[in-house]
Amino acid sequence: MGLEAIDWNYAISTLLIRFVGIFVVLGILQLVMQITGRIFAYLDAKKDTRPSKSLTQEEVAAVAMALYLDKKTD
Amino acid sequence: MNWDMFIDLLLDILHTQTGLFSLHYKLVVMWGIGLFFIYLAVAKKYEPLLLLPIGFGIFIVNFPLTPLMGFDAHGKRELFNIFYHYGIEWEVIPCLIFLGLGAMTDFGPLIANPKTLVIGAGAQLGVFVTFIGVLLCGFTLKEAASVGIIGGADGPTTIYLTAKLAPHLLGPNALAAYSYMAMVPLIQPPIMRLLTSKKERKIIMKQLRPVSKLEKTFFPLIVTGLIALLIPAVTPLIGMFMLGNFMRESGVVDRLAGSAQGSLMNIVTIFLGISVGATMQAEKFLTAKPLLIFSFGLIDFAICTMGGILTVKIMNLFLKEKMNPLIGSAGVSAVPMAARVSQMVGQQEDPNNFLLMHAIGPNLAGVIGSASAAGMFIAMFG
Repeated sequence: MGLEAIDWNYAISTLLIRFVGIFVVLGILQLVMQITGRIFAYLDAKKDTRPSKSLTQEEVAAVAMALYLDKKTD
Repeated sequence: MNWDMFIDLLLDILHTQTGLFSLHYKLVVMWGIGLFFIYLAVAKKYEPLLLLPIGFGIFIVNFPLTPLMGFDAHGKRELFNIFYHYGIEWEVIPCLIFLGLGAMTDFGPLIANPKTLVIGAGAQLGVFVTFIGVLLCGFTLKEAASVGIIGGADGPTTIYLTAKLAPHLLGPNALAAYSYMAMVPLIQPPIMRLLTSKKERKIIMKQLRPVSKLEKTFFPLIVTGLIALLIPAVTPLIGMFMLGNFMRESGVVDRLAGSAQGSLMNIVTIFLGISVGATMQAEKFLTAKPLLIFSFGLIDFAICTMGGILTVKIMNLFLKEKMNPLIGSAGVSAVPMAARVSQMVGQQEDPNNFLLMHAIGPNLAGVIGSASAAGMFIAMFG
């Protein structure tokens, strides 16, 4: 194909549109990822703040004793 | 049988059943090219997984009368022609490679910092600039598109697009893409230093947030849905990429994910290398076009690197927390080599600056970006 056979107006303008198109596509993906990221972060935070299974008095005492003994032997 | 008859018979055998009398200097040149790529793979360890079978493919198909890339007397395809036809022409191999790559990839750094997706788009600048340059050199629109995509630094995407638009350029395009990908540590650092100041290279980025398993599992579904909707032409590539990643992140099909990134990937890599190498026969390859393709491929890589860095610099004008522009060069894809180069150049300036994980984000965005660019070209000319 010779250079004169190429419709340069078409080639350049469609190329420009498509280059911008990549920004648009990845920009939309970025936006969606940011929104879903916030949703997941919110869900994770909610999960973390749920009260964990509380320890009994005996278990707390056992852990405290173990820590105390561990310190004493150092 | 007399002596003359014996000599005639012997000569006839040598002429028709051996390659001795069909040797040509062009074939010898191609052996040299094949052996050069074998040398790069074996001695220099440049992309050996691909350059070794490609180099061997080039070497072996350029012996006369070898029944490898043509058709036999009954019109049946010969061995490498079968690999090429079903693997490349049917577009099976690039998609299977993407499946394996997806199963290998952890998108965590990209999910943690989605802003880096834009860098992957900016790093496609060279693809479009090269397209124009190649057109000016007399290539057709389809050929120009297939050469332009080399700068995306993504082998399977280059092969996929070239097989669709300009299959006769498959050998030089694939070879240029893989050669320059191997040379990223040589090509990129001077450009990175030229376009950034000392102060910019020292920017320390905030540590990435942890990404939950659930978020990683949803990511491939989101990308697939969006890309299929916006650029359907590239769904075979991105779809397989995301299927591989979904298998990995879902955690319920470890065997399948393991096969996709292990044995399957290795098998298709062998067929891919051989098929690409086998397309480079002397009469097709020794023309001016491959030389131009190699020259434009290098320019393409350089402009893509600049595009990524400049995109970060432009983004920094609007961002409160500045990004280190060195991660922009990783937007050319070439996973994970380009990200390692960002880390290396950053550490030369400040040994306590760890950019690797930050650069993986644009690196992965580059894969999606170059596949998107390929999709745009297929939609234009496919």
